[in-house]
Amino acid sequence: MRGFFVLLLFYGVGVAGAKWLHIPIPGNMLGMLLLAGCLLTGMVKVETVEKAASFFMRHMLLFFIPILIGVTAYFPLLKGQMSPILFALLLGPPLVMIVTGWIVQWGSSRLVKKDTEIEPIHKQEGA
Amino acid sequence: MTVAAILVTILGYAGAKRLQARHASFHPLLVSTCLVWLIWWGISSDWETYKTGGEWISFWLGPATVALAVPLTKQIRSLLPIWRPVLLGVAIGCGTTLFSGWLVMWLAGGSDQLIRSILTKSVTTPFAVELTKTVGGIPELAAAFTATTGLIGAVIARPFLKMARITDDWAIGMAIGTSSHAIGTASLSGKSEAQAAASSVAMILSGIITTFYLIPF
Repeated sequence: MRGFFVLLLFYGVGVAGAKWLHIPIPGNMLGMLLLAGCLLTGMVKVETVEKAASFFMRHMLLFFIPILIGVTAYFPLLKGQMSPILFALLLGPPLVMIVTGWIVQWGSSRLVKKDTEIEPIHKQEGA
Repeated sequence: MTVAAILVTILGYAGAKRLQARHASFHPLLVSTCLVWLIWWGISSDWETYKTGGEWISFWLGPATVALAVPLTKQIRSLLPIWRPVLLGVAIGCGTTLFSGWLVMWLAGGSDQLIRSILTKSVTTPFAVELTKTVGGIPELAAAFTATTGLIGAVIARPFLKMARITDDWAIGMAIGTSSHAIGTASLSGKSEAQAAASSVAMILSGIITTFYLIPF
């Protein structure tokens, strides 16, 4: 239950902070960044929020059903624009997959080679 | 009636989860949305009332997004050795989504409001909805575009990445998380935990990075 309140608190602080400080970042993201900071510095223990967090993430779908239902009201707006929309939606994922996939694969393969050279140090760190 | 809207939504969600357990090919997002729509249409079809009740549910998207801090901080240590290519890859990937979406809609003469609603299509829904509000788009449309993008990404990911010779676990995860957020990530879990972990980090990073891209707008 405590984790539940911690998440709500950080959400509240994020929303209020973004509004009052006029930061152009959504409140929920500011809340997430603040919590991430607190988790990394140990100000909030992972154990405190872990259970509540996995509950929320497991049921994330439920929370946006009402938003998706609302889309029917905007169907008239899509009229005559369906083909460019579909084209944009279909184009996006493969394009991004190639770009991101290749960059990460190229970059990490170079780093992995370096890693094998310094493997002894790496193993010590891991232990 | 507000309470009825909340109950119907939860019922539809629970029903879709049940169905998914039996037929894996039914995506719970589509099934639950259709179920809830049908039930509400049958008993009331007063969509204004549904909206009031629905807001009680979508409110929880806020704390649920904050919860993403947990997987982010858990994975951040394993990310450190390769943070440069990861950040670069996700940043350019996000830029690609924004630019290609904008370009296609602009060339086709799409309305300003529509363009502003399609920009966040690759970002995980809770961020997409809020970001779309800040750039002046329509959150409901953004949610629908985001869901569609996720479904497309999840379907094409395996064969497409294989064709593009992307085989590294980190690269696969990052490619899927950046392009098709939580829906793509979910399609990975149970198959490769390493890829799913990379994908969940990528979707959070792409939310953060896209926010910074969109600040000037």
